Amino acid sequence: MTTLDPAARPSPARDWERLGTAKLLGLPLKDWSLYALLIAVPGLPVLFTVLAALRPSASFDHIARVLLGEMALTSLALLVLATLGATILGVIAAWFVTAYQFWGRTVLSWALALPLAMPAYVAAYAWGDLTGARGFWIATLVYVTTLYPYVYLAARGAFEAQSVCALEAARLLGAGAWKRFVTVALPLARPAIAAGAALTGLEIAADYGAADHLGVATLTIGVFRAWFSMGDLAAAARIACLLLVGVLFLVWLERKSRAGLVSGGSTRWRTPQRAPVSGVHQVLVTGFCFVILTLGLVIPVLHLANLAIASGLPERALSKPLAATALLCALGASATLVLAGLSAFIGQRSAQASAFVRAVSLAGYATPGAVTALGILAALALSGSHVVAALSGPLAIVALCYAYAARFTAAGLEPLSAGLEKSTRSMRESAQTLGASRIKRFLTLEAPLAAPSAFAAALIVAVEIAKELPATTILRPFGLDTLAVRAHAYAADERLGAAAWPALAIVLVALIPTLLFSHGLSKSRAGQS
Amino acid sequence: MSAFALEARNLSRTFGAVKALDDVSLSLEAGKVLALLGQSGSGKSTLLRVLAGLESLDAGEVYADGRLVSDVRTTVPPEKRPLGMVFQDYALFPHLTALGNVAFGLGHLGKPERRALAASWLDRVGLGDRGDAFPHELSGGEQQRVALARALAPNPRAILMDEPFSGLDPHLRADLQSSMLATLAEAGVAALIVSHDTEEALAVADQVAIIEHGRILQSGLPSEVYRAPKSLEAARALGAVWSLDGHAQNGRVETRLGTFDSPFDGSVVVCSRPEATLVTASDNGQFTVIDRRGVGRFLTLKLQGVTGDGAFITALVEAKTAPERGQHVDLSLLPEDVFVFKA
Amino acid sequence: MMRTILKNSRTRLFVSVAVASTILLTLAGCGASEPAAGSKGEVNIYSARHYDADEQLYDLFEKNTGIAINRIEMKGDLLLERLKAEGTQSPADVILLVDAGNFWRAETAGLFQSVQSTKLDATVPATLQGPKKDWFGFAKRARVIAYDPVRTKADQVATYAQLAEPALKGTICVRPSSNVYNLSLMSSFIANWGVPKAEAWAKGVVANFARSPEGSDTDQLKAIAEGKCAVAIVNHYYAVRLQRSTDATEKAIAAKIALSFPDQAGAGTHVNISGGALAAHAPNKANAIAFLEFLASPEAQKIFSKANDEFPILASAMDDNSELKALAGFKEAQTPMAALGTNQPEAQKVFDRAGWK
Repeated sequence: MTTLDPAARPSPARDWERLGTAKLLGLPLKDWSLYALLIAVPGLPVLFTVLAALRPSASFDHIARVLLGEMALTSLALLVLATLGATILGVIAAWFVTAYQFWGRTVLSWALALPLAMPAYVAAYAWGDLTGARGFWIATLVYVTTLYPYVYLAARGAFEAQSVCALEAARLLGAGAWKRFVTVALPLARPAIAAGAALTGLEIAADYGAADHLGVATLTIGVFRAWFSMGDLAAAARIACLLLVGVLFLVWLERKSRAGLVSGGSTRWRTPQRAPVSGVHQVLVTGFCFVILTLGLVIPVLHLANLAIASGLPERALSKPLAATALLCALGASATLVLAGLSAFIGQRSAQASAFVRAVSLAGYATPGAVTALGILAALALSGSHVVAALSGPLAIVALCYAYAARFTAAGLEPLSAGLEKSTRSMRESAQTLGASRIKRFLTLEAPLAAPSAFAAALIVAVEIAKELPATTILRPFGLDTLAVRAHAYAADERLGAAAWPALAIVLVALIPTLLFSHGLSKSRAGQS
Repeated sequence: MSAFALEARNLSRTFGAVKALDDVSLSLEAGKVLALLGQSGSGKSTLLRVLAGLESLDAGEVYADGRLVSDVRTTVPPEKRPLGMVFQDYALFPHLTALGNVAFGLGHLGKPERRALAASWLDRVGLGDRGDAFPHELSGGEQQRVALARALAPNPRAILMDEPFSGLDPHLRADLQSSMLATLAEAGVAALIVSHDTEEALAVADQVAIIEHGRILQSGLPSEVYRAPKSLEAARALGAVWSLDGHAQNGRVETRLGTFDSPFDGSVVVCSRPEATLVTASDNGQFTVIDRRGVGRFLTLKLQGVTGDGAFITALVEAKTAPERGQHVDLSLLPEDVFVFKA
Repeated sequence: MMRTILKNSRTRLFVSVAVASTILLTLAGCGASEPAAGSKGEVNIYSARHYDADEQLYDLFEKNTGIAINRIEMKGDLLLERLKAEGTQSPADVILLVDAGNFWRAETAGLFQSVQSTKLDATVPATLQGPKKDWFGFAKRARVIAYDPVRTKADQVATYAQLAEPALKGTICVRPSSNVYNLSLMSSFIANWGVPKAEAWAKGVVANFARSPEGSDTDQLKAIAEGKCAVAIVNHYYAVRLQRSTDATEKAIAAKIALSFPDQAGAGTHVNISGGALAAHAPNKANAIAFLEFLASPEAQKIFSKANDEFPILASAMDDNSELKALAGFKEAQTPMAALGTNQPEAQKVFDRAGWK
């Protein structure tokens, strides 16, 4: 007689179908309690902002009449121009580095990403002091030169992963170098470039330090003007919501850009043929790359070093802020990575859930750090003072890690999702037929394949946390002044020479993970693990 | 204790409005190869996934080694079934060597035994010296063999293969097919191979089953199914056929190629295979050669009735004696080569 | 999984460096993040002051009393938000703020409690104390007019009102309106002149701008030295800092600048305070009061004056700072501190309407 196998268990999907339970965004309802927790993290400060915006405001009329138009226009112009500039520079640099062979290419291929380590506000201090200029155009320069690496890295990855066959086919059809670039390479790389450009735009939207220092009246500046100068929280929240609407529009644009494009990756790997350049072209290409690297990293660093040396040794040692920065980087990156990992994992289950999770994380990314931190403070305050232990020690660090996770999940989500995708569905099912349980599959298949990407994600997030200023300022406990906090304190006191030391230290600290990340990327190839 | 390594009884599976599997039954015997032949969308991949436990059922049962592993209420997960599977893209794990891949399913053994067994399996598929290579360093044929070894190493009762030869060079296929059959026979494992390629299916199979629109049209020995198809679709699945409409009366149907027995009366379809159609040149022939194709030993002729109307008939003839285009010929068939189906 | 990572020797190196540094720095960080407790206890200071000179204050207090100081610094607005969120569980003992407006806001939000201290009553003038004795000013700063004596005559910049006159067209540099120093100045104008007159003044000044508002007070002084403008509105200590600097460039800038303390013949120069208060739920009340009293002591006052060039409340504390002493003794405007607080939102709006970015 047939016996029931002892390992038999109820068919999961069947029960739900029979019960007629609906799926929300493609996910079974029973899974949603866990996912709601994940989505709440980046979403909470945003929610706080929206709720605050609904309250009555005394000053909003004034702001709307007098300031809003100009601020919105400035923000829009800055966003469009700087993102465009960063995108153009990043794409061209990435193309040069992948398609051509020229002097310095090997070093430049990872060095071009290094300006990531330069926080926008530090570059603002340097350029502002160097040129004496303030205002829209210097701010654009600062953003373009420090943010182009986002696009550069994304484009470089896309160009390298591209099917060599498509490009060679185009060549045989008579397409010259420029035409190949424009009609084959660019369109294929468009989703990645759009993602990089979106990150750039979001960074610009969230920036406060550089805009403040350089005197550009953006919406983000308006948020704080309404909040603190006019004491009107509701007005500030409304401006922040306006900013978020713009951000969500950006996100939607970028998603549209991704739709309908197959990432033609081939399982075969060949070294892409790099065309040699010589003569004038060599000078142009090498020169271009060196110029943007110089603008983004070398000039600000040299000028700060100049200021630092001129002001003499720092009065207070930097060892404690250095330790604080390192500690928060490590803890914050871990927390963010856990959240990003879980989000990526959900994203695999359903395309709609993935889009939703991503949109929420990007909204968190675009929310200025101060708004995020104040949202967390408000949430803590709401939970009742008998629950709120003082913000010293462990709770402050927890709150800070929450703020980092809320802000930077988006940065880690991209590489983590890519990493999880390396274990294809048929690989996972193969592993199942070979007897691997869920946990074993994760440990022996999905995790090892995702590990390099997870490492890269950790590095990116660590860099972001090292640069982060506002949330750290607000939520930090006693004795945990980071390098960023120290630098800003001096700069606020108009002592740029003293600020230069910790500012340089931030750049140096952030350079380590940036280098690791960028160098590691340029070594990997499609088809290799 | 059932004699079958793997058995499916009356399987049904519906996705939304589409019935992917409709009352499908089949069985695999140890050491034998069953080829499941069908076009895309026929339900063959769904059947494979239901058997493996990657999909659940709406009706029916699956038994592996005599034990119930799938029915409407319960599903034994794939990791607990004594089944192996080779996917169409091989799904080798890129971060493990060939040896690592083969050893993956041997977690229940100690480390030295695992390595030894995996190494011996690689030997058996002829890749003994490639154990340290990563999947991207292997050719397509080598990858296929690693995938086979990996699936066989845990000693399953049956192995399921989804279009295992589809991505390979044709001249490689024959070698791989014979070596695979040898390995399977040696291991005594039952195999279910899913394919859309008739020649391939017929080359490797002990038994053939034809699936279309989620239903098994016919199953049996390849020669049986080839010679006695139960339906026009079944006939088409196994090779080229041409067909004529006809009207049968009193068990006989009259056609231009002669009169044949018909199991039905009324509207029928008479068909046969090009290779069974006998061509004789004749000035008064009833058919004209419309077209002549091919090089080599055999040519394909496309013929039509002299009156210039009616269906086209295809015939396969030796090149040496093939008539020219425009020539008149007569056609005839042996009764055993004629299939008559209800229209 | 580890095997895969460890196979690549370069990755091995990076990973080990990363792991080692993380461990080391985490250990260091753990030590750093624990609030230190001295032999006599501790005091938790929330400070909106951002001057490096304050380190000297803290070091001196710790040395004198043995009480350990835990402090956190951030901009006044952010500090108030944090204090409000922390509520009754806040560890803050002493709150140091800059600008009377901020004091008023904090007081209104219930963040202070009153202090009974004879020492403080003796040293801090009544006008620089909160009416409920809940906050105390320890140093003053004047918002003055800096000018290039070559291009501008002293009698052209003797009052704030003159800044709006056409005679000074194209000569004025000033920092953006959102800075709290400017906001308080405008608040005092609103209190003394009313909104319409204050707004007219602002419009007049805007018409005289040499350039769009940008940078800090020090940047305005540099601009005067570079000839970009002739007149600026700055806090006095930025100018004094340049005067006392050992750096040749900075000294050269200071040499080109003269200071005018406006409205000496009228209501007096706008003065704002920097001070401290006892937090409403201070866990270390006695230590907190000790710190506040310390700030009024001659040693601390000397640091205010010498290290940061602010006007101390103890006149004798200026003996070490001749440049500062030379400026002292001017007529101070007597605008009530509360007015500086209540009018701030309107002040920003006035600036906005006048086009003062």
